[in-house]
Amino acid sequence: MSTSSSSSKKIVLKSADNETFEIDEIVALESQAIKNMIEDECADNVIPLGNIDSKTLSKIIEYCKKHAESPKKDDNADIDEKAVEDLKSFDAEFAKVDMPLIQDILMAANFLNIDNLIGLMCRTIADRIKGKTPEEIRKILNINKNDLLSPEQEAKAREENSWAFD
Amino acid sequence: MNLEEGTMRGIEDLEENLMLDIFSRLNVRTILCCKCVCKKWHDIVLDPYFVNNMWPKNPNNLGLMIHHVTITGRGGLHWIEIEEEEEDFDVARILTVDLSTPRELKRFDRYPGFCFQKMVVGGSVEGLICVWSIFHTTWIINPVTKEYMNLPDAPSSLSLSNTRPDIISYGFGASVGAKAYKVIRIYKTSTIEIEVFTLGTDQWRTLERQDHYNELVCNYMKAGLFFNGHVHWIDSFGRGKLFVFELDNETFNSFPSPPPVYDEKQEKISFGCLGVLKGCLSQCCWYSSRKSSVWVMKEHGVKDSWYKAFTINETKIASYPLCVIDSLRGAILIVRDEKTFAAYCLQTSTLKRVSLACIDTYIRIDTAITYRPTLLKLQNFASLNTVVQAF
Repeated sequence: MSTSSSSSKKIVLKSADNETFEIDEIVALESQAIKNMIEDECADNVIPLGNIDSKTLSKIIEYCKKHAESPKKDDNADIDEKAVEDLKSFDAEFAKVDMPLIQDILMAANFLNIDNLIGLMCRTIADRIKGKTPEEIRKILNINKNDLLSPEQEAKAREENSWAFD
Repeated sequence: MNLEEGTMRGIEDLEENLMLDIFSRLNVRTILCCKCVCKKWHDIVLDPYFVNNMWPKNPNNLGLMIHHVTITGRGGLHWIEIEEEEEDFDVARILTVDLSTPRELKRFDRYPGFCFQKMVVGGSVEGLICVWSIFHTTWIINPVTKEYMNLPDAPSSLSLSNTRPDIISYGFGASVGAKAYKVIRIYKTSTIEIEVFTLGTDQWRTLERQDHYNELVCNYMKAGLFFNGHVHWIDSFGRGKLFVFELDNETFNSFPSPPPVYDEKQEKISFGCLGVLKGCLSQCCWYSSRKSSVWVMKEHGVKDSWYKAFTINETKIASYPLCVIDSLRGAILIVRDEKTFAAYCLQTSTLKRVSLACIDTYIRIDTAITYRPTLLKLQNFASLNTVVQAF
């Protein structure tokens, strides 16, 4: 493995609001989408990410850095338990942000194809709405009022499984 | 790689695969609440892809179905959710979602014969429950969608109007090949016979009589456990002998049991129950000395692959086991308790009593089975003779 040479190579990401982020290639490779671009040699020096703002992008880079540094599971069978715990607590801290940012990170992670991050964000959203009523869920996720069920439809949906709403 | 849309925001804009990912991490009650949140979610939750593929794989979607009977012969089904919290991971916190509150029971009463009077749970597969009564009626119930259907009478019940056959057991499972849900009924006349009802068809089929059936069973057995294309039964009176019905080719045979334990006390299994742990068939053996052990069959059908996963010496378990279930953090043994039941976490050896708050009269827990709720509509299996009704 040519770790030293690959880790020294730099990639520049440009956010929607034209901020640039220079990162090690190994960090960028956490994104399957960027990895494919690099492998297909269709990545320029600067990769424009026109749908990701700088706030979201810096969070994503923070995540990728940490995960790129941590030993991968398939590298070593008896992986350091401390490292696993460390990554777990990093993830838990990382997810402590407001819901709009979580949604932005999730959509960006989906676009960049970062599997672990998609999972972490989906889990975070699921944890926040678990056990909540439909009204609470709408509030937590700021659901668009134009997409609500008609009062009749909602009454029917509630009646069908009334026990779930006790 | 450029999208000029500007920043994205709003849960409605999430791609459907992400919504499915989120939903698949929720428990059933929250998903049903999600159904009422907005139009898009309503459609996703009811989408056949979600119902058939995502829902059954959801690891959060694991619980228990308890069937109780009272001294008067009445009873009900109780769906118990198993919820595990981050901080409280050594004990399973169990919530009761009672499907037979007095209100619900009254609704059952509107349909004669459908009030759980002398009813027996005949097994569960992917959230559908088979229930039969001593009057030989068979129902399929989906407690989540609040539907049930009455199966037609089996030929063996019809042909002998005065002397009805003794029912040995029921089983309920799904064949792997052509996905078909089948109810299996083992009964005894002068010989042992088997009838099969495939959901979606109109009538029971009587399988060709096989001589070896008579050598297999003769005692009444609890409902079979569906796992890996087979329904498994344990004959508690017969020292824990096992039997399987293979759903694809409809054969009934004996099945390798865990090796007998003969320690210094010459212990014998006095009671056994089956379950699925970590994707393997498992059996809990309760010995005459009141010790128990839990065995796991690593490779389905391979006798030598049985290994002892847990030994329980504690006298805490005062009554016999009802079932073994998997939870996110480990195996749980459900045992009968004084009035209701208790959950014993095998990893941590902690016992948690569960009370069913809705019941105050004397009850007996008759059956406990693993239950994975489903939104699958019984309507999919309706036929001329099996009309789906709501309760």
